[in-house]
Amino acid sequence: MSENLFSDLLLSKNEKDLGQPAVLLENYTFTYADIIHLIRTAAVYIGSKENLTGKRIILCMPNGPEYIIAFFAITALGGIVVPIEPRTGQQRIRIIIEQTKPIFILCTDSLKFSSDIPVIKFVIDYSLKKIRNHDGSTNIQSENLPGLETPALILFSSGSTGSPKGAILTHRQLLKIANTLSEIIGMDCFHREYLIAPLTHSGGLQRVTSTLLRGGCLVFPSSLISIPTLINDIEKFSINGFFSSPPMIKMLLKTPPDRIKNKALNLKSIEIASAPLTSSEISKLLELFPKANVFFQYGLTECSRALILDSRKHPDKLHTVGKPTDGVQVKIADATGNRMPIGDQGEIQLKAEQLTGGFWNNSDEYRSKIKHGWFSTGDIGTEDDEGFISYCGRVDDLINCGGNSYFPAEVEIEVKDLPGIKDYMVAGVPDPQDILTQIPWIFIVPTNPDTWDMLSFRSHLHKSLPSHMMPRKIVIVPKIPLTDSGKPSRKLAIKLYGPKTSEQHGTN
Amino acid sequence: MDPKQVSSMEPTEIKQKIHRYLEDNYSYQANELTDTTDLLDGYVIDSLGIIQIVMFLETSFGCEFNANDVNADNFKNINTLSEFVAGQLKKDR
Repeated sequence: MSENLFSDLLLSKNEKDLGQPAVLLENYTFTYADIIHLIRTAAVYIGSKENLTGKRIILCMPNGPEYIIAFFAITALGGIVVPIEPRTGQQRIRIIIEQTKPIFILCTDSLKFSSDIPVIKFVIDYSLKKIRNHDGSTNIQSENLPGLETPALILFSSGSTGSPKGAILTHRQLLKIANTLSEIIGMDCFHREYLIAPLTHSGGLQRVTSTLLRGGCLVFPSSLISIPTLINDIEKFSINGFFSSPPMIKMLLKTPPDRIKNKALNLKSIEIASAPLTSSEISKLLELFPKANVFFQYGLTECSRALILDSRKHPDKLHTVGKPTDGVQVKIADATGNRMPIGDQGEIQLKAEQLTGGFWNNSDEYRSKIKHGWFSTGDIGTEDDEGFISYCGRVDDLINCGGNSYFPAEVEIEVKDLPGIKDYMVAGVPDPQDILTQIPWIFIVPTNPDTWDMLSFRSHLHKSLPSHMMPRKIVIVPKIPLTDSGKPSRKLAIKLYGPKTSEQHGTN
Repeated sequence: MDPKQVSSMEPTEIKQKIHRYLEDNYSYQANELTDTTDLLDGYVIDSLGIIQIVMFLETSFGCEFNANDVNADNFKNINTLSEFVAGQLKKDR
């Protein structure tokens, strides 16, 4: 039997493991045997439509058992999953479809976008543990499973020109991350993982693979995700670990400690990623959960879990993003690729087993990211004399809103052809509430400020953009400021028209 | 805000406050966001937005949400949210 995600994470379980719970949702428990049976059934349901080998299939569904079953069924048949969050903006969806040419879209609900691609509804009856509208026959011959080097996933990340790029990840790379992460976190067959991060991102998906690898159990929230839900479920389901982006953590820290006290007795670890937290915030979190460890991870869509900080082990390094994980090499480089001296700032560059080998249908973009054999992250950092890396910012204008990163161009592309606009610029400004890291603002120079229809403009953006990309402020400005060399400058725009002075410039 | 002032708040005032919060944070104008705009179904708020709204309602109105309260029925639109908050405040009086 060849090695791959399905065989290594699920088929390798012995008789005793098969009876253990793998997924909990509301009052439903799915054992490992149930999950394997459902994946086999799903493979017939999905695979009967077409041979999936090397084909792309869009998974557009919220977190739930359906996502996990469909993911493993598609990849077990040699197909490549292209995840799309149900609330993704229209333009981004159009580009992803154009680039990957999927054979169909798998979803649980009606789609919020129109597409010519065939759509297949995939819904599981939780009580019967059966796929709806399917006779229940099963398939997947072990000898036909794909090998480790087969692509399993294309994850789209932000693109500086407004066009997202799809990082290709193989079975081997996803297994490598599952191994590394589960070992660092200390997951075992008793581990209970609370899934609040979207499975469409590597942050959430790799918590699934890590937990299943060690024979643990995945728990879905009992209601809409919120701090009360989190606190309730941690206690109710004896949760041992969860992954979160910093906004959730920041709000958790604002919760009165009495509401949390004695509720998280089994919580052993919290993994955080996607945006910086201060060392004082991490210290407070360690105090709030005295029995739990906090792991801060630095990674990219192209290379997840590249660095991890174990904050209990290194309380004097909370200002850093940790050290390289197994098999990862890091270089802090200057513009010519030379390693910077200890303590000096430079670009963080990576070499790693889990690093994507390319972008789907976009080899030029991938080549531009490889500098002297190292992957260029676009992040600025320093290295100390013990090998801990500190994150210092970006070399470009990437916006990080609540852990979702994207370039201003991805919002600007929705504006460029609209009537009545002479010039425009999108920029990330610091979130005044200190929850989301940054929020997007848009500076507009209307052709005629007196007649410009802001309402239609706003409506258009609403229909086109997901919430984290929707500009929180539309600021009418006389002109977009330029640098000395005549290029539009976001830094100057924020300085001139940003949060402090916005009231003087027609902010609404 | 004084807890007494909050507990005597009229449903209309609660509604206005929620309206203002959503307008300020989600780039709406009053005539776009109605009391019945579906907050969960459209592109209005994402999961992070729900977490923030819960925090806003708890701090602004002094009510406490249980996990069961954070459901699709209560968060459907401004009307349902206001009714929930008003009900909580009535209980506390």
